[in-house]
Amino acid sequence: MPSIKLSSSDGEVFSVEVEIAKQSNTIKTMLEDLGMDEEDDEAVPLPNVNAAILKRVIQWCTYHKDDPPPPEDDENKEKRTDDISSWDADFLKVDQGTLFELILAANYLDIKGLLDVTCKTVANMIKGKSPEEIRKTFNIKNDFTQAEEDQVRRENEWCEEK
Amino acid sequence: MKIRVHYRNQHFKLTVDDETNIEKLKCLIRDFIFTNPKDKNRPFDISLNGQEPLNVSNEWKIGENLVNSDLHSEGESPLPPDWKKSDLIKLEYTHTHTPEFQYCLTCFTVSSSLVVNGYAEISGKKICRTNCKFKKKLFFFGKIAENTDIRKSIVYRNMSEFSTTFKDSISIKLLLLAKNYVGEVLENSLLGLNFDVQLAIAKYLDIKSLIALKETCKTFNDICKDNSIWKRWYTVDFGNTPLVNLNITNWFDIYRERRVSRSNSVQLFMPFQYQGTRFQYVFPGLPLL
Repeated sequence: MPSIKLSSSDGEVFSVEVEIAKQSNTIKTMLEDLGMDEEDDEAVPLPNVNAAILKRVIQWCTYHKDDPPPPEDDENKEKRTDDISSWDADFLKVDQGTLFELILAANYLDIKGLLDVTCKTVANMIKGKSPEEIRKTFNIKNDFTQAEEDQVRRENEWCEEK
Repeated sequence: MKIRVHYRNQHFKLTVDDETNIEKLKCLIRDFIFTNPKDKNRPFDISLNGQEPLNVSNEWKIGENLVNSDLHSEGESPLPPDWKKSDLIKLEYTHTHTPEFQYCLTCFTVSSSLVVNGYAEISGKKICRTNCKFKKKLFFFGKIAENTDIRKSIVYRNMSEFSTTFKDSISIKLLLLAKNYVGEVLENSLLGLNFDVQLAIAKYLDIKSLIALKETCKTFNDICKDNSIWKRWYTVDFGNTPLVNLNITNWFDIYRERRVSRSNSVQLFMPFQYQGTRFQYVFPGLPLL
C-alpha cells in the first residue's frame, strides 16, 4: 500500500495510506492536480490542522475507508440526524472545542462524510432546546435589543402556536 | 461576603453568599484544611468581614486568596505536613488561543460533589467567572483503603466523560467568555464556524429547533432565515407546487404565510376536525356520521 506523509500545523508528521488520505478532497486534489508524487518523501503540509485533530481525522478516515460515497443531498426531503452509526457516536463523544475543531478540519480537508456526521451531532445538541438553553449550551451571547427581540418573537409566533 | 479563617496566624479567605451556613462552612474548612484525623478537633476561629456582599449564586465561592502566599515561605508550615494531599487544588494556566489571559481554577470537594470555580483575568483584572459542581459518584469509586496515600488509593472511572464535561462546562466556557471580552469570537465554537458550515447545521434542524436557534442572537437570526433552508421546507411541507412568482426573494416569509393560511383554512373550511384518533364531521345542523 503506497502511503504519503501529512504534516500538521505543529510539525508532527503522520504516514497515511494514500487511499485513506484521499477521502480528503483537498489532499486528493493536491496529489492529482498539483502533481505531488506519491513516492515523494516530502510531507504534505496541512497548516490549518493540529496534530491532535489530525490524528483523530486519520482515525475516522481509516475506519471509514471502505464506505460507499455519501449519497447526494435530496432537496425534497427532511434531513435526518438520527442515522449516526454507533462507532461515529462514540468517536464524537468529545468536548465542544474538539468537536468544532473536527468540523473546521473536515471543512478545510473537504471530507464530506466527516463534515456531515459532525454537523448532525451539533444539530442534535440544538434539537429540542429553547433559545435560552441553546445559548447556555454554546455560550452564545444574546445581542438583541429588547425591541429587536420582540420583533423576532413576533416574526416567529406562527411556529410557537403549533 | 468574605470570610477569613485564622489558623496559626495564617489567614484563609473564603467568599460565601449565605451567612446562615457558618456551621456548614466550618465543616467544610475543617475537611479541606485538616486532612490529618488528629487535627479534626483542633479549635479554629472564623471571623466575619462582611464588607463586600457578593451577588453570587448558591454555590460556595472560594476566594482567590484562599491560600495565603506566606504559605510557601520557609519555616514552620501553618498546615499539617500532608496538606497538599487534601482535596483542595488550585490550578493556574494560560491558553494558546488567548495568551493575554490568565486562568485560574480552584477545585475542592464538598460531601458528595466536586466543586470547581474558575475565573479569567487580564492585567490583574478579573473579567469572568464560572463554577460547576460534579457529582463525585459519577467519576470516583472512592478510596480503596484508609490511611494510604490519598492519590494512589482513589479509584476513578468515566475519566474521558469527566474530561469532556469538565472542558465544556469550565475551561471552554472561560475561554469563550474571555474571547468575548476582547470582542473576538473563538474559531472553534458554534459562532466561530464559517457561514456555510453554520448553514449546513441549520439545515439539519426541525422547524421548531430552527426557530429556537434563530431567536438566540443576531448571527443565527440571519442564518436561520436563509432562502435555501425555507425553500427546502416549502417543498417538503407543501410539495413541488410552483408559485406564481418565481423570483421569490424571501422564502422564509412565503413559507410562514403559507403555514399561517393553511392553519386558518383548516379552521374555517374543513368540515372534518381531527379529534384524537378519528376525524369527526362537524358541519353544524347536520347529523353526526
